[in-house]
Amino acid sequence: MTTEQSLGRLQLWMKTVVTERGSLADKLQTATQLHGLSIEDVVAEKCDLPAHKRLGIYTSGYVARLLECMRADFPALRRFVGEPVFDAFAKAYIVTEPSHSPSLFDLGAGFPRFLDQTKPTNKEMGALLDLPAEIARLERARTEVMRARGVEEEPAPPLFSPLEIFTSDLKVQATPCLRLLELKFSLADFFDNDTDQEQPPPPEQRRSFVAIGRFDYRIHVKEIEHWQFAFLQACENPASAHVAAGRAAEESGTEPAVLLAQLVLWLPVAMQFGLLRPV
Amino acid sequence: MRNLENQRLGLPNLGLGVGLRNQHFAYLMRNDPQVDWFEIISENFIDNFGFARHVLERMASIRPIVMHGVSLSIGSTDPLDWEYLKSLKMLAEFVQPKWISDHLCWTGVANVNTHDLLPLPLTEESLSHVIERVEQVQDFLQRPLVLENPSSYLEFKESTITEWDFLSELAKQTGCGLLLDVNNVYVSGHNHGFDPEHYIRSLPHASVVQIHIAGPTDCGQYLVDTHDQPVPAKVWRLYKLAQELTGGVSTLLEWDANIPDFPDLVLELRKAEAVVQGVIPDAPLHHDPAAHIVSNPVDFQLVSA
Repeated sequence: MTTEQSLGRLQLWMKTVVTERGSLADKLQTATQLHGLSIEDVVAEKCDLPAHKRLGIYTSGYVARLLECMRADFPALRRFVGEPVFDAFAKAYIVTEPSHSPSLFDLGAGFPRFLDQTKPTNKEMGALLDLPAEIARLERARTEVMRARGVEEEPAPPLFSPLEIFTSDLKVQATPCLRLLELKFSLADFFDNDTDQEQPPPPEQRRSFVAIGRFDYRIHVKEIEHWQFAFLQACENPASAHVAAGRAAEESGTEPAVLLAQLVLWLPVAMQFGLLRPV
Repeated sequence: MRNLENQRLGLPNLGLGVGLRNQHFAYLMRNDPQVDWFEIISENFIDNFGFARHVLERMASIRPIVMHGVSLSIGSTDPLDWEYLKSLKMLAEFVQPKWISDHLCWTGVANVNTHDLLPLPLTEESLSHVIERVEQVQDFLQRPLVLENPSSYLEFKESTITEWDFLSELAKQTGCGLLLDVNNVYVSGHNHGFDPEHYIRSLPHASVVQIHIAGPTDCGQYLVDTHDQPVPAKVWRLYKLAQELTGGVSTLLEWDANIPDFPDLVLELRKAEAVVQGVIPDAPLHHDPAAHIVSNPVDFQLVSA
């Protein structure tokens, strides 16, 4: 080993040993193949503690530490599929898609996609196989809402009457923390009712729309109607509520006059849950 | 107490502090903090605009804050992560911390982050590499970086420098500060067979800005830095020595897994006052030979914890 290369080479060797899949013997074999170094070349034997044992503290700690993060980020999925199955999913994800971010918050970002891409293709099971990824999407979105910019620090919005919709004067915008999901299952209630049950029954399989907002630092996970989903999508940027309602009517196939009437009633609720704000 | 020129790099002795952990947010928003200062894990608050930021803003208005990072990866051969450093600087502008610290370690390479504090081979090559990067970080942050000695479980055959000499030379050449974790000295001393007292006596004491204390776990053949137990008597003795040699520096109790209620945490912290007076708590070292023990726990970084 030349002096110039040794630090980088040692780090690549150790990174391979820590993050590769398999037993410690498998990891060491891969590291030797890739970097031409053996454990005897690298690790000092001292104090009657073998080099393998020393390295094992790092390799076992790597997965255990990140597994704890995944368990904390996806509690509903964990309860639904059970601890052993969840751990198998999460460990596979950890070794397949190592973290590239300085923040552990980003660790679970790709988990819903990973679950979707690696689900079995058993036609008899049908859409049920989509359920783990769907639950993970909802939990990830909820975590994002917890940390995203909200409206708590903004000045109080101007007073308004929902009836202003009819005059085209009312401008609204989705809150920056709002997350919208279109799902194959009815998950909002499942999510809300999930906290105390060891293994809750599967949710109803049907198309559903969910909005997750935050108001006064409280997270609200709400199932919404298709027209409400379309309306919130149309409000990503500041928009006339009247114009956004027109788009939502077209998108959802709702009669415009009916939608406007429903919107008058729903707007205060949407604001109370931190989905929307007047601008 | 010794008269140390330019003690603590001119930074204040903040007294006794604890980590600001989300498990205590509700308590802290309703009660007096009872501690002199807080340390935050920088990564927990970077790009976090939720309740955690709200609590941080409140605590920063009533107590000094220190930012402690786990992802700088100062020893990595990957390029410095300038996006991370920009985020760190933005957080510092918001928090106005008394100082910013991280660890003498690397957390990953080839764009992979293991989220562990991995040991460096202690060589002239590593020293030059870390010196260069510390200088770049200090230039960017416009303040001295404070680096902590990590706990470690292996040493590299290639190492030619002791950790205390490495840190001393690093401090001398860069002007960086040292965060002396006396628990980590104890853990590494046990695992590698060096004398922890000699380690502490050999450091440049005027560069020590802060001390960490914590409780490790004895796993039989080795000790692990678990941060989940009361501070044992042997670590308290090292703490007393460090306070005598440094002339008194800010003390932080680390407790990052099985985190107790805030009042209980404060009771453990307050033992430090008696220790500097010579009263060492008769606390045993926690033993647990179980295979599930994890070093550098991350409970304190978990969203729903």
